[in-house]
Amino acid sequence: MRLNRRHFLATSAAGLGALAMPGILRAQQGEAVRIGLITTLSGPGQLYGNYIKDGSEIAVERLNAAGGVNGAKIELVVRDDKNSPEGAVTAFRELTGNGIKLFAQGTFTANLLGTLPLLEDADVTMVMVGASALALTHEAYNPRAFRLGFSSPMCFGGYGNLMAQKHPEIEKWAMLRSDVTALADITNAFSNGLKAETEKAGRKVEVLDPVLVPYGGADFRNQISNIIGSGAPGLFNVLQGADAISYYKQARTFSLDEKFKVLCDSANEFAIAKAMGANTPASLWSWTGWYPAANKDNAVSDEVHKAYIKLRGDEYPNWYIGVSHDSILTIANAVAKAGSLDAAKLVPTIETETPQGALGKIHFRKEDHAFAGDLTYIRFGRDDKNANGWSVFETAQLPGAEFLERATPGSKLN
Amino acid sequence: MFTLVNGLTTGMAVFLVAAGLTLVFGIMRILNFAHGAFFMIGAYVASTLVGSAPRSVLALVAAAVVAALVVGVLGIVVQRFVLRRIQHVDEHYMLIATFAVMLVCVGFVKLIWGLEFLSVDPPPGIDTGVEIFSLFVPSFSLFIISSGVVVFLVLDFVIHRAWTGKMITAIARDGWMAELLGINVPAGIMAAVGGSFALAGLAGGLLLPNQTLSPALGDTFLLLAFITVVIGGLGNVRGAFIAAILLGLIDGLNTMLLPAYPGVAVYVGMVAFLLLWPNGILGESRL
Repeated sequence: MRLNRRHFLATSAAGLGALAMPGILRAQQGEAVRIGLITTLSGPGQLYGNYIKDGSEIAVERLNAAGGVNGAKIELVVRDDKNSPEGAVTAFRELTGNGIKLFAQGTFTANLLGTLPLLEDADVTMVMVGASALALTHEAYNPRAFRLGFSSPMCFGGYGNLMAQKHPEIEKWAMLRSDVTALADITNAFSNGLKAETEKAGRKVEVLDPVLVPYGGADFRNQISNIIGSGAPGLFNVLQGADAISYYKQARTFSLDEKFKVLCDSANEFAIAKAMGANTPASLWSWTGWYPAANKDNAVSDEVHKAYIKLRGDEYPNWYIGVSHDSILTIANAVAKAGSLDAAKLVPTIETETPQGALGKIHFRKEDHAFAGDLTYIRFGRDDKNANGWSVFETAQLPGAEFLERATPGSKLN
Repeated sequence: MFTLVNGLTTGMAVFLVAAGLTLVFGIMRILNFAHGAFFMIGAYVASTLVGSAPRSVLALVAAAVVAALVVGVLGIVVQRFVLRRIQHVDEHYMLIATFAVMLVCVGFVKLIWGLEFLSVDPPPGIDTGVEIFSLFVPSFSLFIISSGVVVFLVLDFVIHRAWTGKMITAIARDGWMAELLGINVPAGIMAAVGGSFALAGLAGGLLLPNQTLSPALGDTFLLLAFITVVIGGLGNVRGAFIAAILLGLIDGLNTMLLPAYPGVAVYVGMVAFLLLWPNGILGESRL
């Protein structure tokens, strides 16, 4: 075929047009949309990283089964941050070096603080999975990052509010927490929420200073004896992971159930019941980021729940499963709607879109990209009638946006 | 008074872990950084045997003894392939090598038992509390205190009175001379190291209902056990016993007098002890 000037111009224009097309459009021709997932898959935080990986993989499987993003399959590229900021930065550089522009990362704040300053240069859009530290949406705020996690004022302020509503008869609360400064935010938020709601109802409540225990300690009996001696009928516990379970085990001997009218655990949810079985406290409240049975009429939540049961055979998934699923969903939805992988188009899309996720409608506050979804609380405890030895008795949900702290992107919250 | 009893409980729990640590230092002059990991393996092995609800105290103790045997055998393997090779090298290499052993152990536990938290209840008989002179004392605390005292008495008898202990002491003090006198030195060392690892496994089994099982369990007591060994005098079992009691009591008083600074007094106490007795309360010992 003879190439004349007209043919040459037409072919060149088509070629240049194809090159100029956004990545996603070229992706429609068979190229996958790649999302980098950086989480902790080794060391002490591995348990949570595994949940995040499972939830993210469930999301990718579901989205691909539904046709992917504008016809392109989603590919999840998973890297271990080795639970260190250096590990996170190394993984981030490797993935961005391979052309990945979309990221989900979590859950530890220190590791996120390592990668946040790199987002602009790499033209990356990120969803921070499950991260709760205030710094991420305040002094370390990055306009390219969205926190799909629950800040302490939000979930524990709401928690205090809920307890004040549920138990107006309790006028004195004791608190127990590990001597980790970051956890002080939790006891402060709970105390503030409790006092605000109580005062609104024209009552007064006394909240005692937290009894402190060493983080990773072996024996909590002295502290248990102290809180029992406080005479408070309400108790809020802010120990985490293995510490919390050891504490409940040791407290059993002291008949903790009988000494307090209301027992609240900060966020250990089903880890306690799964480990303690029939020796779980008789009634224990806990905050959770996602509990499928509380999300009635939410088909996405049900599907994610079923997919997790199929994957792990566990009927009670950790809340990170739902949060990580929704993180990937947020990214995929934004890419589909924006038709682009560019942060300049994705960021405003995520700010305005409210896709239906496992947690409910996913929406972020525009000013600081803080997640503003619903809050879920569960009450569970010993139950001889259930083969597990425990059951969930009650759930409660609050609108998270009402408890979000003031937005101060770029500066510390005072 | 409760603080005193609880201090003794903490002290005896720490001694159960520290006993093996000080023994292996006494015989091989190696600070075994992997000791906590073997304590953890002992706990997991015992939990596999008794399940989440041991039927009796005897079942728990029997599971702890089996865990001790399993960890003792593992200890002999580690001695054969790792400790023996690093016995005469710089301390830094010893720390790195035993740290590597610890990482292998943690990986092994994750593979076998997974990452989820596991819990074992105290068996009937030690799952409640008793009133002693109108003081409420958890019966499991009495079990830990008794276990610590029994382990100390048996260990002290074996080291200072039994022929085996005297043979091991002779090897620890002068291996060359012991060999010249016809003692099978490699076998003696292997037996002593196996015994010290077995103590870690035993501690893991006995303390099982007190802690939550997770791959980080080894860290729970490791630091306190190291402090105990240092304060008591490296390699000195009697010193470790006294130091563990003192540490437990200091920790208890810390909770009562300085509740805003939990755990701080233990470190202040360690500094004070080392200033007063740089070689430990009873001095360093080769058993």
